[in-house]
Amino acid sequence: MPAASKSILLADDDVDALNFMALHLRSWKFDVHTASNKMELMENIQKHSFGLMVLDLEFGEWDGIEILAQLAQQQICIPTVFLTGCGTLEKAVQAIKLGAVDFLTKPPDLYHFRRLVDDLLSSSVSPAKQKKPVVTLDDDATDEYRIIGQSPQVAEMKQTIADVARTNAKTLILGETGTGKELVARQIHKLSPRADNAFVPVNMAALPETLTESVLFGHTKGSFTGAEIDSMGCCEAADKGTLFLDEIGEMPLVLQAKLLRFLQAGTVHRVGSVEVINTDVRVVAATNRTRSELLDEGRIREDLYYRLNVVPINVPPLRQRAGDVPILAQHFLAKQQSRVSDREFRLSDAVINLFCEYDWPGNIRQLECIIERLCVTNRSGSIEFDDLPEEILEGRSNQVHASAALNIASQDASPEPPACSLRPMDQVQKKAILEALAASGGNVVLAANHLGVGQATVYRKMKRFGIDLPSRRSRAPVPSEPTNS
Amino acid sequence: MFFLTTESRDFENNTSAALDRLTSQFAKTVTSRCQVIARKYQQQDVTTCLRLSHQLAGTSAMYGFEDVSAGARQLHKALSDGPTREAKDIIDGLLDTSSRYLSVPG
Repeated sequence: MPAASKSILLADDDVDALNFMALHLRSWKFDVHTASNKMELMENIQKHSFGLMVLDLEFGEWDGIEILAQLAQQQICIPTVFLTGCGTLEKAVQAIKLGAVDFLTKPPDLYHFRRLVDDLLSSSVSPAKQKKPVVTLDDDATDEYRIIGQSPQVAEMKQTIADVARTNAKTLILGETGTGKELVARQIHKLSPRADNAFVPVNMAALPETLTESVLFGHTKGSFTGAEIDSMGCCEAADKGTLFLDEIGEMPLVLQAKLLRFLQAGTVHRVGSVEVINTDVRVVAATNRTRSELLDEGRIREDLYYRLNVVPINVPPLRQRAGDVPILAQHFLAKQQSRVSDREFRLSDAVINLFCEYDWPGNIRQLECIIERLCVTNRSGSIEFDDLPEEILEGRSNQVHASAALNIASQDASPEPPACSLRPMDQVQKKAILEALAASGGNVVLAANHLGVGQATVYRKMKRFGIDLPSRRSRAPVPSEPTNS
Repeated sequence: MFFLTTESRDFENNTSAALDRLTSQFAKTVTSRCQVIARKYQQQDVTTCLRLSHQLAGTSAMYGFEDVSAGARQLHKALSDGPTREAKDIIDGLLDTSSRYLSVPG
């Protein structure tokens, strides 16, 4: 694969501005090509490959945003920074929606501009990838929004995401809080033909009721107190892209009719305006409520529910994919290592085992928070059983299942793990100690090593749980150092 | 920490000299740029006025001509609503401001 291009294409119709920027970029040892009109710009793009384009917003008689759109249509994707003498927020939004990396006003802060250019060129895509890449769900390990997990439930979910992403079908993502519903929505967008356009997330639960309509549909100047300028809403901002409506069950019922109209016709009326604005938006919604909570409790209009629920995707709770817990834990551990510390952290086997057995009522978000807490408070680098917070050690969960209580009674007799792994912490610890003692032939030192805790902890717990060591005669022989005698 | 080598110091000196050259070149054009804007305004060519005031706002800010840049920005904003008395006053002010840069040495 050819190396990523370090060349910069600088395009400005004002030769004095062009000379100024070129002088600085060349003084920083960058390879700079210049264009003062559209023909020069296109010639440069055809002849060379560029790691970055710095484009004037008003490029002579041409609009820089239109040029970027034309390049996108020709499948030419060069990371682009816009420079403008008089920028407006609306232009900036348009530019970013089209994939511009940044939008700067003249004069740019040269220190920050240099850092930006350095960063962009060091992470620049290779010339071979200046055409739109085809992305699959698993091939991008650097994607911070990738879905991690190898369990059958996750594999099935990934397949559904890949299938639905190719279409424009409206999708309803169902799952408990903290399961990663937004991640699923982002993957649908990323794998869709809309990937180069905006992904606009809106959390309906976080919006004040009085502002919801304006945030979603926009408003015109003077339509209400404080509406000092015309403003587009999220539905318009997501044009050609994806609108993600999180916590759809919290949307005010009054506005659901307006949303339904938007879903059916794809048109938007800004608050205070009768003008019809056409949009092309893919809508993905999510909720942590069940179907019966949504419909029976009247939280969502039935017609809206069925309009959104063309393809449902169920995101499994973490307790149903316990096999993914070690991978997720390691992922968050690595993330914390690079973020909060340069120390290396290690989870002991006992901690991982407990993590796998814990119920995780807050799901993946809870796991991530626990790992972050452990990394912040841990000094030794090795995270042991005793370092775990009370909520984990005590096995407290907000979601107490009746089946769990039944399983507790039968778990000792059953060789299979219970269907639901919720158990009191004492039982988990007792079982772990018994297993460790059995594996180490009754040797407390070895058992403590195996559990990743100190001997004193094992003795204390044994006493608490009434565990007696078998008599010396019945213990398995423990390997000892060879002696000369 | 980094140290300037003779080579890099020469390079910096050269860059600085080149920037001085570019700045004086630009200073010489400021008045004529403003005159062109005034002429286009008289011809009621608001589109060209908008484009030229946008250019002037950005480029003069780059070279440190803050007063010219501020005037050009004001003009660009005023012209968004078409030709107005305010726009005419701003153009007069720009012509006055820019005339001071005719005497910049270099």
